[in-house]
Amino acid sequence: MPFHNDRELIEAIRKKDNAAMKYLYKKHTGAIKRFVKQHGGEETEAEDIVQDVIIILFEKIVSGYFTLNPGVRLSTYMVAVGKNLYYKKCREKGKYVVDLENLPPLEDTMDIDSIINTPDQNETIVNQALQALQDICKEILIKFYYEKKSMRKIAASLGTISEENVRKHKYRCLGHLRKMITNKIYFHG
Amino acid sequence: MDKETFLDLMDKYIDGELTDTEKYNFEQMIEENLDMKNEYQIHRAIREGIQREGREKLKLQLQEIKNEVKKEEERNVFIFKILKYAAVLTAGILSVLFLIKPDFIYKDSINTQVDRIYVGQFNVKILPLEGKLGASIGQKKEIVLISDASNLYYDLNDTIYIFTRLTKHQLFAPDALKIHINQVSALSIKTNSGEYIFPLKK
Repeated sequence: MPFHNDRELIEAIRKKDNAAMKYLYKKHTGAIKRFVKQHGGEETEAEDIVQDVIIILFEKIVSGYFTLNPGVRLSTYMVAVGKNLYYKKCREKGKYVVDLENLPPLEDTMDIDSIINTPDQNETIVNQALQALQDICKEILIKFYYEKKSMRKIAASLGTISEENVRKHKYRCLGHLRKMITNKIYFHG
Repeated sequence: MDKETFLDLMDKYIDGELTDTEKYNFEQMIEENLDMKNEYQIHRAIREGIQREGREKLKLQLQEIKNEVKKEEERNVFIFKILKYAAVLTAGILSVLFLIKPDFIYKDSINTQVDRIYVGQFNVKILPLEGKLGASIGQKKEIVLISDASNLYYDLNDTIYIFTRLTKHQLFAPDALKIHINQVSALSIKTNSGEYIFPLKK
């Protein structure tokens, strides 16, 4: 499916549209892969970076924090994020990449840490509780909190459930989760 | 404050949707009330967990897309390979026809001899004057290429069509087993993945 401009593509990504994601993957990730491989990265590393770039882009778009500066193309933005991710991964491995080009701005890679880091004990407990949750609960919570979809859209996507029921479900599901993890996770401060 | 209102307030705080004053009040409130602080920390941990779960789901979607794209690329490479082989075959046939037997394009394969290479089955199609694909005359003829070349690329399972501007009447004439190279308009190779037409420049 062709997208006439970046704005159209961004709107489709906001809906997590599969055709848009595929288009993004096919048309806008070649430069990132090339950059990683030209700077000593392996194919799998390049694929991981591409995946993380798309995730960051998606999360920024749905949370409403995404803006492209005038004259900047989506592909350029993605390459910049990809470069930063790669530099970060290299630094973590004690490997330093010397790039003669200008360094891209870092402000758009705020979520990188949470993508790269491995889960701690609290996170593992929450993850396990989420796995034990009913599928419908997980779906509603992910659509609401991660994909930032409205109750109306979630109800429409689920088909047989009203908007009010979705809201009640969400509240109930959070309650289940809370019960499962209370007294198991501990916080400092 | 009821639980649902507190939940909405926590969500707004986490999503940065509170004004500076609201934010300050919220922070004060949870600092002063340990139960609320605990609720907030648990909710925040849950939100982060959902974030991770959503991310995993997106990763799965991307993995499927990656696999689809990879399959498409492999298919394209295959088609490119077929086209490459077909082009080599066409060039090979033409060179042989021009250099070795310029007045000959095919003949019955019954008289197989050592210096004749079987390259597959040829179908003859009549090409209309406007040059688009014509109707098949429904007569398959086996082709023997007169050549000592052994490095031609071809696949015996492929069917090769010759498009000619000869009329049906001319084709069925007693000497129709011979078609002069000038009368051939296009070569086509039909494979499992489709038909590839190569118009011949005169």
